[in-house]
Amino acid sequence: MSLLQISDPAKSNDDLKKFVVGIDLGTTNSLIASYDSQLIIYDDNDSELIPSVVTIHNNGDLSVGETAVINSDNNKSTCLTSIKRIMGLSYTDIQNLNLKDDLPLIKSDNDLPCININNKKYSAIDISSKILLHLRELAETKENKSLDGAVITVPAYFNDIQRQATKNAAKLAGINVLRLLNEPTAAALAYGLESNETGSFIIYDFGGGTFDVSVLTLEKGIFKVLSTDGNTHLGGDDIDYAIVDWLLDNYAFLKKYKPIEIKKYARLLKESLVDKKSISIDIDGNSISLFDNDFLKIITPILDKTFDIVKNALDASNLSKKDIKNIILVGGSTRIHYIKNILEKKFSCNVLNDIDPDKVVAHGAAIQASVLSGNNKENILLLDVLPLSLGVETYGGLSEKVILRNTPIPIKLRKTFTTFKDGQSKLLINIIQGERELVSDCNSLGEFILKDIPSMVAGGPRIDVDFQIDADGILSVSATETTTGNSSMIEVKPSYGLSESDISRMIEDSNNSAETDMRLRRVNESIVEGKRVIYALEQALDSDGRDLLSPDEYNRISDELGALKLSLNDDDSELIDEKINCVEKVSEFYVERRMNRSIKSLIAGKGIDDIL
Amino acid sequence: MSITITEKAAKHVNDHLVSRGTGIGLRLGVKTTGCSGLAYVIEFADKVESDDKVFEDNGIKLIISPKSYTYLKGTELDFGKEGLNEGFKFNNPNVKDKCGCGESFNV
Repeated sequence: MSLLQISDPAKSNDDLKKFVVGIDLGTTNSLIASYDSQLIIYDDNDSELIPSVVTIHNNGDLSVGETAVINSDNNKSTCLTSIKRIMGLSYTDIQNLNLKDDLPLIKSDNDLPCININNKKYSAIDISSKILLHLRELAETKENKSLDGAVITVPAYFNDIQRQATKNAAKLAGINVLRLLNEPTAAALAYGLESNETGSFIIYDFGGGTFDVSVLTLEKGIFKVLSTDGNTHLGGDDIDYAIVDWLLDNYAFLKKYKPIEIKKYARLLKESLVDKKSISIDIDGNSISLFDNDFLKIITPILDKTFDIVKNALDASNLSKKDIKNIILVGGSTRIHYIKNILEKKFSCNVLNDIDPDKVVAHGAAIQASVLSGNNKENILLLDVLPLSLGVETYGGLSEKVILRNTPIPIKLRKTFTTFKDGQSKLLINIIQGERELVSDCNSLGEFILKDIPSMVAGGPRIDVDFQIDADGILSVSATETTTGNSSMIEVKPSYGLSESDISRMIEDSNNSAETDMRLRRVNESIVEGKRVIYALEQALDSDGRDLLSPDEYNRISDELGALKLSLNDDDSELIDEKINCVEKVSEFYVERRMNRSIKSLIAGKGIDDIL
Repeated sequence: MSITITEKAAKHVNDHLVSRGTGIGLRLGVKTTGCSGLAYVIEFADKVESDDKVFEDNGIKLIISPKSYTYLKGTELDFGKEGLNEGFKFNNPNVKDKCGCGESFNV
């Protein structure tokens, strides 16, 4: 009897927890956060908003985030900003956009845009992956754990190519993407779970480079997207450029400055003006001022564009203004207080900005990551754990469980099986659902046959059976014979056709009948063992029984064998075990003789040197 | 039939519980595994489920699910030393045979 130690269920759960994060990969700023009972945002030099900026130095070194911004004034480097705008676009696409960004773009093969710095080419995916890698390192350093996966948010407007480009960038950064999540949906998730609001909502996401609007309905934490609309090239950057134009018109001395520097002043003015009547800054001895009525004039054309898009989205959702319960503000640009005021007036509803509009998307993504990884057990629906154990039928009508009930899904598990008879070429995989020991008391979900198993003795082949359940609850079972790689598989939906009361009845049955099941399991195991002994002995008797045994001995073994066969008809495991013992005892000398003969035939005619 | 724990084992369990800080007792159980069918599970318990069976012996609460109970009826939990190892032992009257490594058993 081996000695056992006490295991700690709380601790082992912690070890099983995966380290997953939500990443808001923004045009201007990015965030990385994890959610485990509370939100943790990983900062870079005490700043939670990490600039989506990569600076490439002339010596080939890279800096990312805050340090990239600090180093960007240097003449010895190139600073790349707002790279998300050209993600997944062709060179021609970008020309048509008429971007004001000063990216040194060149056209490379297949109309792909490339940034050429010191004769080294960087694609938008390369640059994005540097940002993602930086984020990953920040989180990993802080937690001292390696990252298991991430949910990355993208604008609802992103097409398949842009989404794929984002996935590729994550792959380059060594990040396992659990799911790409639409930014407005992430915001709704953050509000839906934390505030338990119900009704119809507009998500107004005005970020650094993109504007998105989505109309959603939220009910008991489950939300449905009714419509989305937006513009991938409308954001805080446009406001900055509008201010730049206004500044150049009004302060001629600024023309001698680099565009990127003027933009910095424009942004400073914008961010400082919040709630103030006017703001003045000093540039090398020259003072410039911006009044709120001028500011409103500058931004009105841009805000009007966003309100037009909101109207389009609302029309597409077949709702009217009065159906909208709340508007959720997302994105740093919604800090401009005019937006909240105008929207409140237009829709006469409550405009929500309780959660920091810069963090709400990362917040929702982190929650989603936590749910997808199975860490966040309290918040997930019943659908996300396996209601009943799943397994396969083994010889003798027994159920061998592979995935136990209440296991969080998605999950993948493997068990290895083998054959029962010599030369067995096929294996029937019957998928069983239920807690009971005997297949006849469980549900069969489906079956398939693995063919072409190479001819081997019983117990020789190794057949790996993989059970995999994805996030949507689809079960796929595959069986692979390891020497040849032959495999076959089946897909089923495990919860199909079972109501909640069915499930609890099946679990109760298994508790009530544990004792009977245990006895039946034992009987079945004895029968399987008995059959194995009979099969092996009969094979042996057929091949050399007459040579090695006297007729008397042969009959004695045959008699015991007959008694064993007879005992298999009774449901008495002890009787069967006893008969197996008798057979083994009476055939002991026969086994010995067979062994001696095999050894003799092995060593016959060989010299002592060959054997020793 | 009840489940019991020896005085020696109880002292060790109590020491473990004190150093862990939380926990109301010990959960005993069986799982299907190994070459002979079943193996013991022994872990700290933080709560009692509604259908659990609870026994108290030598000041220690022993918590067992109804399914595991059918395999563990009359078991005594002991603590012992074997060479350099020390740990818990199940003296289970239901056991019919064990596998060679002692990891799993049959009832």
